[in-house]
Amino acid sequence: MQVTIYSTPSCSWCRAAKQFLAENDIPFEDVDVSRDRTRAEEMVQKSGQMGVPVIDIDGEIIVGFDRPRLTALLGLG
Amino acid sequence: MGLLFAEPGPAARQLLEGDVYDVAVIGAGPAGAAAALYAARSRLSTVVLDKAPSNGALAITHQIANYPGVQENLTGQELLDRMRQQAADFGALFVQTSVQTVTLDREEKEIFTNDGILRARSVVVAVGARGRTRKLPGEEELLGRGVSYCATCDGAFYQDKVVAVVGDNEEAVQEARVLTEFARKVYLLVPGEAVWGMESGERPILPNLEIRLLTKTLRILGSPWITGVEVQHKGASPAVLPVDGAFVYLSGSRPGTDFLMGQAPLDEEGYMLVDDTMATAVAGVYAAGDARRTPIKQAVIAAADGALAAVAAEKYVRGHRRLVQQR
Repeated sequence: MQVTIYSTPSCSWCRAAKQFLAENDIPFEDVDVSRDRTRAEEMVQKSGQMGVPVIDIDGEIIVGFDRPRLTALLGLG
Repeated sequence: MGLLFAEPGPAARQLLEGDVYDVAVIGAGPAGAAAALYAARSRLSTVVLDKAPSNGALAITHQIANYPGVQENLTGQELLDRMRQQAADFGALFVQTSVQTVTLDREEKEIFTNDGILRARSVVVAVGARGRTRKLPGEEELLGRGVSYCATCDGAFYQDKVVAVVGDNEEAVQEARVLTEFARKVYLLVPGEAVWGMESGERPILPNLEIRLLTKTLRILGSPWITGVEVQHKGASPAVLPVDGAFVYLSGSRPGTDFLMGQAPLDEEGYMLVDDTMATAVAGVYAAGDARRTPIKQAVIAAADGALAAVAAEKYVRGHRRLVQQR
């Protein structure tokens, strides 16, 4: 499973989401969109919006720290 | 508001990300201040968070008429300053920051704020009932496509852009400040004639921040991305202000409990459900004041709630500590 999280360092929702992934032993790529313009555009392309965090799980896009959907998509339920 | 509150930024971060606190109080109105007073006086390490310390229901009350023991002319803010100072004198710390979300289902609860992650053994939710009741036309449709509620999160997307911040409280001012670091131009659109928490005439002076008083925001425009906001200055016709982003921080009359994200039981209107000791169904989590459905929305009731919540939190923290020591 390929998990990418698009985040900014000062975003506490992002930190909550990353902590959730880490606590559930889900390896993920963390993209800091405040530093990487290209990847930021990639995030906007994928999600159709520009709020963080955005989580990409094998092409399924979750906007925001949507715990129930994240739990379902990661098969943690 | 004075110097009681650690300001957002490094000062706040240092206090938030230090030790694990015994009690974290969210909201510094009469319920939160009283909870902090009782908790700190019981020698529990206590921190109080508030996103807009001058914009609560008591803070905006012009004159206190029926608070027991107060007979002189006193504004709500002055009464609140006394309560907070009293709690601070016993060691409670006050931090101005916004809480985004929490994790409550564990011994060390976590509070995710704009200025760092706070850990605490117990939490008193005293957020009051000044949350938003209705959204602006266009707001929901353009969420993430120009509309945001978190400048510290999404500010980087507005580099060199023009943005509007809608609101009249300290949270709006703080978020506008954050956005000035990214955006070319920031409009702070204030519906009334002043910004709460600022003396009249006192304004944050930043070259790319323009404060427009007496300016109502009527709707957010654009499809599928934001193109502007429709505003109306008092006495003038509506006009379009072209912007690339709108950050909305208006107040209403709903309990401000959305940040709990279903982690503590609420009733159908968002009020927290508690027992007679102010305990929620979640271990170590309490609610006080207008955040629960009180029989009357009065400062004296909120303060009493805060006292009860702190006493219950103290029992929980000390009981738990004993258990840990016995292990």
